[in-house]
Amino acid sequence: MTATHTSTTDGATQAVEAFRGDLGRLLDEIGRRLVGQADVVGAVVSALLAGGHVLIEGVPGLGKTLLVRTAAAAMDLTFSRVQFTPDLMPADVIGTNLIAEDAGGRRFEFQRGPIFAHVVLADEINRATPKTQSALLEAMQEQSVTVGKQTYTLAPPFFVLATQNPIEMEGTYPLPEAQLDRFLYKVRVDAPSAAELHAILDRTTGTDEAPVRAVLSRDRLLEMRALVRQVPVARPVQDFVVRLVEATQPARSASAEVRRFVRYGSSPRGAQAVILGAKVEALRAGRFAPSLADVRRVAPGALRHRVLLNFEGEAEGVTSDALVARLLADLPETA
Amino acid sequence: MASKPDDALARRLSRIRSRLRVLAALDGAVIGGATAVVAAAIAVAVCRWRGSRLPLPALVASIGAAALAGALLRAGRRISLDVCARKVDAILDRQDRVLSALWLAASPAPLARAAVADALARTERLAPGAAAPARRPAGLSVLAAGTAVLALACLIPGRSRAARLPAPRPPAAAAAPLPATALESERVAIAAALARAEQTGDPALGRLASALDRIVRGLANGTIDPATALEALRGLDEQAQAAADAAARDAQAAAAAAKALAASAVTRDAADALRRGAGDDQASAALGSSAARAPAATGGALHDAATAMAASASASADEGQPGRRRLKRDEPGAPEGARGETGARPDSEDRKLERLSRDLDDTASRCAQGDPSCRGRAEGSGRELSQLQREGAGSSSLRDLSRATRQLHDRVARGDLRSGDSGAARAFARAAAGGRDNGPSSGSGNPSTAAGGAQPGDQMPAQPAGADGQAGGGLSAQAGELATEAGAASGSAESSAAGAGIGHENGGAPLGARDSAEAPPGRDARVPVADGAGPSRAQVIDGAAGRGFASRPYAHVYTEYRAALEEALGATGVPPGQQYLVRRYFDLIRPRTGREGNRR
Repeated sequence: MTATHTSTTDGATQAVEAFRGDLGRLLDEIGRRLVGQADVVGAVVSALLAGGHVLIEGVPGLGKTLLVRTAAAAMDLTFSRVQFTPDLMPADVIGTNLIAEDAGGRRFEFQRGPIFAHVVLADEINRATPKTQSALLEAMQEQSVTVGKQTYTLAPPFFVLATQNPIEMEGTYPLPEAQLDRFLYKVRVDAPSAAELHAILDRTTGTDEAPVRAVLSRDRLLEMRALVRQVPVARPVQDFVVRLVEATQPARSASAEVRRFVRYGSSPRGAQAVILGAKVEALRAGRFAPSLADVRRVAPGALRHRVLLNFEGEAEGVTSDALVARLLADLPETA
Repeated sequence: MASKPDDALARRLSRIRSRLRVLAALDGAVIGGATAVVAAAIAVAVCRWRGSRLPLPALVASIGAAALAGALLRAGRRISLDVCARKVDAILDRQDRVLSALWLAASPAPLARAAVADALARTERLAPGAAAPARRPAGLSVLAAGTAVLALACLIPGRSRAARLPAPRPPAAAAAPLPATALESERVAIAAALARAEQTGDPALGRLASALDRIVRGLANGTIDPATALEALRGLDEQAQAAADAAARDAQAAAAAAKALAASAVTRDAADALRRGAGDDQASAALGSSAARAPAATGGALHDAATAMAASASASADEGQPGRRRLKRDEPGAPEGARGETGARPDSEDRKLERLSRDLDDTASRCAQGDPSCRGRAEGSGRELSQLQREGAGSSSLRDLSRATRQLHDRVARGDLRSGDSGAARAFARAAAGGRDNGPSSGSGNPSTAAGGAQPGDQMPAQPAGADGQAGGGLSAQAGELATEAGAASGSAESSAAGAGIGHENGGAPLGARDSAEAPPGRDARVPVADGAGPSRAQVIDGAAGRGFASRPYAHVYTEYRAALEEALGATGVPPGQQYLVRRYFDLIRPRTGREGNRR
C-alpha cells in the first residue's frame, strides 16, 4: 500500500472511531434519562444520523417525548412539540404572516411556527386533518416551508419524530401511504419490562433528576451525517437489498404470501432507508462497510410501513412485520 | 465482478479457493467411486447370477476411472472469490468484512481503502485450512455401503446358473371333467327353452338359451373359469329377467285385447283364434272377414280392444316395473350396463304396446267411418295381435331360463358344481329357507309361498315349466326330491320372513348411518368433509359485503353495532387483549369514503 493510502486509511479509521465514540456518548447520555427502549433509541438516533424521520407507534406514556427531548438536549439542538388535533391548521405548524407596526409603518412579518426547530415532535399526527399533515410532511421532504411567495429554509439538522396511537382509531385520519413512505423508520414502542419499570420509578419519583448534558454539537452531528453518506456499500450487500425490496412487491415477488396478502410493496425509498440504516449500523459497530447482518437488523423498521396489506391480509391477521421477517429468512444471500 | 480485487486480498482468497477445489475434487472422487462401486456390485451380482466369469480388472479400472472423472468434474467447477470471502467472513465475525473489501478493493474512497486494510489485517494470519476445513467427503457412506455390497457379491458362494435352473414344470393337468350329472338340470332347462323357442319362433329365448348352453359347456369341459362364468351368468340372468318381464306384459296385453274382442259377436272368432294361438293367418283372416261383414261393429270391437290393451299396459307398468327398477338400482353389485339395459327395456316395451294400441284405434276409427281400407287394416291388426300373443307366450320359459341361470350362478359361486344336483338342491333348500335368494317368483303374489313347505318347489332349479310343459318327467322326480329336502330344512316362520319380494327390500337409512347403536335413528348422518376446504374468512366477509345482505345503509348499521359493541365490552369481563381484537375487527369493517364506502 502506498503512503497516501496509509494516511487516508488512518484518517478514515480515526473518523470511524470518532463517530463510534461520539455515538456511544450520545446513547449513554440518552440512557441516563431514558430507561430501556434500546431499539427505539437506536432507531431514532440512526434516523437522525441518516437524515430521515421516524414514525413511532405506541400507546401514551412510554417516554416518546422524553426520548426526543433528551436527544435534542444531548445534541444541543432546538426542540419543539406539536400536539396534533383535528382543529390544528397548517399555519399553526408552519407559522403565518402577521401585521407588525413600528416606526416605519405597518408591514407583514412572518411569525415562525413550531416547525422551525431542529427536532420536532409531532404528537399523535393522525389526529390532524390531511391538510395539516401534508404541511408537515412537505416540510419533512423539502426541508423548507413556503408561506405566500416566500420560502423559508429549515436549519439542518431537521428531524421530525411523529407518533400515532394504534388503538384509538376513532376520529383519526390515518396517514396516506405516500406520506408514510417519507418516514425512514416506523418504530413500535413496547411496554417496559419489570426491571425497566423499577428503574423508571427510581429515577422519576425521587427528588432529583439527572440533568442532560450536551455531548454533541450541531456541527459535529452534521459531520457525522456526512460520514454516513461516505460509507461505501459492497455490491452483494446492495444486491441483497434490491432483491429484498423487489420481494416485497406482489408483482415481482416469488413469495406466495406476498402475492396473496400485499397490496403495495416497498418503494425505492425503502431501499434507500435500508442502505442508510445499514451504513449507520456499520459505523456504530466500528466497521467501514455495512454487512448483510446490518441490513437484516434495520430492514424491519425500514420496510414495515412500506409493505401495505390488502383486505385479505388485514382480515387474516397477517402483519407486515411477519411478512418482512419471512422474506428476510427465505431470501438467499446470493442471487 | 465490477472491480479488480486488491492483489494481496485476492492472493489469500485464491489460496482458500485452491483448498476448496481440492476438497471438491475429493468429494467428486468419492461420489464417482461410490457410483461405480454400486454399479460394479450390480454387475458382479448379474455375472454370478448368469454363472459367467467376473471381469475383475475391468471393474477395478472402471471404479478408478469413475472416481477420477468425479474428481475432475467437481474440481473443474467455478469457485468464485465471493464464495471464498464468505467462508472467511463466516469464521471471522459474520460481518462481511472480507466480502465488502473484495468488492471495494478498486475504490479510491478512504472508507473503502480502510475496509480493505481492515480485511487484510484480519486475514493476515488466517490459514486456508481454517476457512475451508477438511471434512468428511459427501457420499462416503454410500461408498462404504457400496463396497460392502460389492464384497458380499464377490464372496458369497453361489451355485452356477445351470445348477439353479428350475426343473421344468410338468404340464398342467387337464381339468377333470365334471360328473355327467353335475349340470344335468341346466341342460334340461336349456333344451326345453330351445325347443320352446323353435316352436314359438321367439329369437330372444333362443339366443339366451344358446348363451347359457355355451356357458354350461365351457364349465363342463373347463374352458371357462369360474370368475368369467359368474360374470357371464349374472349378465345373462338380468337379460332373461328383462325379457321375461317384457313377455309377461305382452301376454297380458294380448289377453286383454282378446277378451275385448270376444265381447262382440262379430269378432268372437278372431278372439278364439288369438286365445288358441292358432297362428297369424287364422287371426288375420277371422278379423278381416268380420270387418268385411260388419265394419262398424268390428270397428267398435277393435276400439274396445285398443282401450283394454292400453289399460293393461298401463296397469302392468304401474304395478310391476317400479319395484323391479328399484330392486336393480339398489343392487350394489349390479354392473352399470346391466342396469341401464334393464331400465331401458320396459320403456321400449311401453312404446311398442302404445304403438300397437294406437294402430288398433286407428283401424277401429277407419272401420267405423266405412273406409274401404278397413278390411286390410283389420287383417293387419289381427296379425299383430297374434304376434303379440306369441311373444307373450314365452314368458314362463324365459323365467325358467332365468331361474336356471341364477341357480347355476349360485352353484358356481359356492363351488358346488362337482357335488351334482343333490348338493345344489341342498344349497338351494338352505337359500330358500334363509331367504337368501329372493328371486322374482319367491313371494311376489304366489299364495303358496306363504304356506310354508311348498315354496321350495316353486324355486326348483328346473321346474317342469308350467305352461310350457316341455321339461318332462325326469325333472319332476328331481323336483319332488328337492321339495322333500327343502321342506325338512325350512320352517314356516322362516318362509314367511323370506317372502318379502320385489319392491319390499330395505332401502338403507335415508338420513345416513348412525354413529352408534345408542344414537336415535334418523338423527345422525355421517357426512365426510375435507377439513379446511371452505372459503377463508376474508372470502366470506368480502363476499357478504359484495353481495350486500342489508337493506339499510351500512353506515347506519355499523354505527348501531359499534355502539352495541362498546356497551357489551363495557358490561362484560372481556379481557383487554380480546377487546383490542374485537375493536380492530370493527375498525377494519368501518364505513370508508370513496369506492369502498359505497359497498353496502
